[in-house]
Amino acid sequence: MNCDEFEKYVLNYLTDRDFDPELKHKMEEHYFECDNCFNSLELATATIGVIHSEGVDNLLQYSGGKEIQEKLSELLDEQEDTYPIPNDLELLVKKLSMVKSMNRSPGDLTLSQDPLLGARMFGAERGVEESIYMLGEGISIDLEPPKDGYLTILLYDDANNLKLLFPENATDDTFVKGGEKKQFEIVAAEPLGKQYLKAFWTTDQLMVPDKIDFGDESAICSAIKTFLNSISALDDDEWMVFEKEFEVVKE
Amino acid sequence: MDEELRDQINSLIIRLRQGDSDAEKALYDRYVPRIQFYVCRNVWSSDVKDIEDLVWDIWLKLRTWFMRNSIEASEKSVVSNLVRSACRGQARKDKREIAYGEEPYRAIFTAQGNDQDENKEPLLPVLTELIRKRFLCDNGNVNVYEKEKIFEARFKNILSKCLRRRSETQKKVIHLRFYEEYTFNEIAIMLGVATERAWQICNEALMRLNQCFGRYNIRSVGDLL
Repeated sequence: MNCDEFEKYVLNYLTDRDFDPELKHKMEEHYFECDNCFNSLELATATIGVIHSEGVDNLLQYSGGKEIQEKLSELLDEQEDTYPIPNDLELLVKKLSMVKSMNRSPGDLTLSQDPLLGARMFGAERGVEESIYMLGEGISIDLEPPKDGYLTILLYDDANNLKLLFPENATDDTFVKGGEKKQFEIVAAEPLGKQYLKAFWTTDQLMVPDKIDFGDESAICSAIKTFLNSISALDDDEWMVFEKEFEVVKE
Repeated sequence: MDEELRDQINSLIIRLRQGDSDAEKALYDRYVPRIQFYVCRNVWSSDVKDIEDLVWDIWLKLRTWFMRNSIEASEKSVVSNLVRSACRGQARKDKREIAYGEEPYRAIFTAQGNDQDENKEPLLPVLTELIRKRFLCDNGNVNVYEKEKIFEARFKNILSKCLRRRSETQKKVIHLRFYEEYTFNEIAIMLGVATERAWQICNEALMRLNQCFGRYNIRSVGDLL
């Protein structure tokens, strides 16, 4: 058994009454040898212990009182909030306002066979692509998520307009299978000038289509805001973004 | 076991045979927590003291083995097998119930709702009590009450921060499983997902919490002190 397998079965080892005895034995052999895995097993046990006695809701509100806070602030001083909140996301939230006339209908999302773009989506390079499109021209997007997860696509422009491209209906299925290509095509629409597309892949479903009233712009706006805030709280490997920058011009 | 670690342990074993008390402490600190964990998971007992006695007996057997043997590269998992066999032998000698093969279930939280004897301590409180005792009571000159307060506050504080970074679904599932004590079957029905998915969400959340502790330089329970 290696460390990755061990990590996978920690919950079973601690809580599962039907846990395979052979796997259990292998885990025991492993933690007698591996310091890291034994430490994480103990930490997981202690974590479950605290959640069991306090409950998640109480822990979320935990402050510990003034005296404890002072002592903790000395201990945790240099470790406070080392999680970066991506600047571009903050910027997006600040810029939040809905696009009024993007001249786009639900039928715009169609299959595309553009292999050039496909090769770049969600790959090792998370670079920004830049292209020029005529008004009304099709823009192909070919996404290949690294593993099972959920997809959300936003489009914004220099005039601070932000639009939820996908999902666009309460019935849209945002689930994407890892390693499988998902293809979209949108139509280059007004306003003229630079536009930016961001396709987010997340391990959790942060944007739930059937909970959004797609007929109400303020509801969509609020869903985007919640989505972006949730993204900023995720770990690096729980989300990924593909950015495509393009310019829309008149023929 | 990698070669470097094996060499380190064998060097401690050699020093133990020469009467070096620091080496003995290092071996004790490495193996006794593992033995405790192993015994808790595999032997039913009525209280922590019972577990501690059994752990001590097994440690003495392991120590005796170290006095005559070293860990050879060819002997895979020799220590865990030795502990397993000592645990089985000692438990049978003491007429304790053990959980090999037949695997009688030991509830992790409480006996309530499970088909086990209500007099038997569930797993979690015994484990957490042993962990707590190990980290809080080892230095006689330290104010244990004060130390425990800081330990718990620090743990809750970091856990609270890490929990905030989990998705709503993950928070809900771990609350339902670990606090409300619902089974994954019940949680799956509540969430409208498959049982396997509910388990996955919980497992993922637990792994993420552990990773999050790492970001606060907490890689073991001892780092919370």
